[in-house]
Amino acid sequence: MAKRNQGILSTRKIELYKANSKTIKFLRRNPIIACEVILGIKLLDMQKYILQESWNKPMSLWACSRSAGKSFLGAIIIILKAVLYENQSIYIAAPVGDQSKELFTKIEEIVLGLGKTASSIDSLQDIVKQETSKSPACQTGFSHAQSGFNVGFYNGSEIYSLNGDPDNNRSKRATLVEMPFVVKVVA
Amino acid sequence: MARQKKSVANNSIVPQVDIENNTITCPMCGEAKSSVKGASTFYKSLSPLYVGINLKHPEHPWMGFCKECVWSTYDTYYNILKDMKKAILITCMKFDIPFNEGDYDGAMKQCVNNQSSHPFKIYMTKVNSLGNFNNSLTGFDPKFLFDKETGKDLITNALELEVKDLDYNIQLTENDLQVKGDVIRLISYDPFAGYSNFDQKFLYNELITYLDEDLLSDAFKLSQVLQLVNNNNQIRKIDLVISSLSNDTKTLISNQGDIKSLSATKSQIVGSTDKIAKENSISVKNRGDKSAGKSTLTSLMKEYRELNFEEAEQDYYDQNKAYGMKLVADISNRSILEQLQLDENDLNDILLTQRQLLGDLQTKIIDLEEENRQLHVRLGNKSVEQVGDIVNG
Repeated sequence: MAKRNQGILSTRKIELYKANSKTIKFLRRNPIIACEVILGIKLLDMQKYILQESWNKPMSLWACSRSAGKSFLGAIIIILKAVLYENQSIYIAAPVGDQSKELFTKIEEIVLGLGKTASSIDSLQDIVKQETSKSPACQTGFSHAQSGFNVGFYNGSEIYSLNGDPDNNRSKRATLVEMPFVVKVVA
Repeated sequence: MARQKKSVANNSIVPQVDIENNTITCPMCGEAKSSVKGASTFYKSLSPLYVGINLKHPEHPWMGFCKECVWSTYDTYYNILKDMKKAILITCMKFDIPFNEGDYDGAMKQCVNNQSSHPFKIYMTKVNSLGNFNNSLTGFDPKFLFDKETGKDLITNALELEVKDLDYNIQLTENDLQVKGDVIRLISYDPFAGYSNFDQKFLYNELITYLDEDLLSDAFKLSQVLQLVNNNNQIRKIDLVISSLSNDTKTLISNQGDIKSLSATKSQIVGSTDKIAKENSISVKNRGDKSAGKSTLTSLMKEYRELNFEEAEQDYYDQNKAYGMKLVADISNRSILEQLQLDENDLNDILLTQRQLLGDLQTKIIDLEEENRQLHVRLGNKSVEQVGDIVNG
């Protein structure tokens, strides 16, 4: 990353940038507040606990019941990590391609305010919608190539879904890998 | 503008109406003029002074003094006073003609375009236009004659009262001076040297918001932004004057001509400003680099890091020390303690592991404390400048 000199900024801009930097730092420290402010999603206490506890852990395993909101919370963590940190490479890996697509679609619905996920959240914000890198060919920023879905952000972060067996998708460098539906518990 | 005054002696002080010959004798010039062609010789008036001086239509009496005498009276006063407004005002008083500020302004505008016409002739046309014969108006306000301030042109007056007062009261604060200093530092000269405090306060504060890397590297765009800021300042002043010309309904009605012309000027400036913004991709709507997502959270984040803002760096130490993190860690530990049912072997293992961990961590602390001490010693040996260099990287 090429560094630039602060001398090109006015004192007022420097003060503004410092204040904004503090806000960013605060949001990184408090993902639950970031979730409410940036996404407009108010989580349940249990979800808040999981989000905060998983935020800075190198590895976390969630063992939750059906319909506990794992995918939803996973989608939130992925979005927040992508937006609040630079140059993140986030991969969604699942044994079957459709499962990773499912989570990616959930992210897309939250960001674009579409579908069932978005319609169930009254307070949903459209801030992240403005953050995706758009192109004439891809107006929303969410591309759906057969090999894998992808969305990029202006800070260099990207979210990929691996549409196939993770074993066949090697040699990718990631900062965060989310693996939904990995463990199947047989009673 | 001044005209030759007629020197006709006459002892009569009231107009003489001759019913038999259908003539009216002007008391000033003494000439008996045909009342059949009244409109071309005399002005109409509703003043009680002239009741009965129209035999054909008594409801619209003539003034009794011929037009030429009225004009020459104006010329006399103009030659003495050299002030068109005062000359018109005194002539109006003399012949009991109302003085109307709006009509006067209108007449003055017409005079500018048609300098060959007699000013009082134009004024009378305005006063008597649309059947609005004089003295059906409210008459004149003597304060125009005696009050120097209100006697001035309304726009000038409004400007002087508002702007001068503001300029006098407005001082550049420390913040403003810093902004001014920044502008001069960034563009290497003072673009608003010589402007009043009233203007400077607005201009520098407005300009500083536009100054960024892109603008500073584009000399033409910078000149356009300076023009745009100047335009906005002019618009602001026009708004100020319009506001003072329309501060109540009565003033608004009497100044509608001026307000209209100011609004037209404002529209022209706004048009020019829009054009500048559009052609130079200055506003967000017309911005050329839309796809770069300028001003979005994520692009700002990237920019802050490029500009070396310490706070924008990822700081996991800070994040782990956050109150929220401590809160969830406490909840987690509490629930673990509540659920634990350990036997003797487990407890022995835990104790052993804890002792090992304790030893490791104590060694680490001693190492870090020693490293810290050595760094303090090294810093103590450096001069203040060298320490500053180390701290600033």
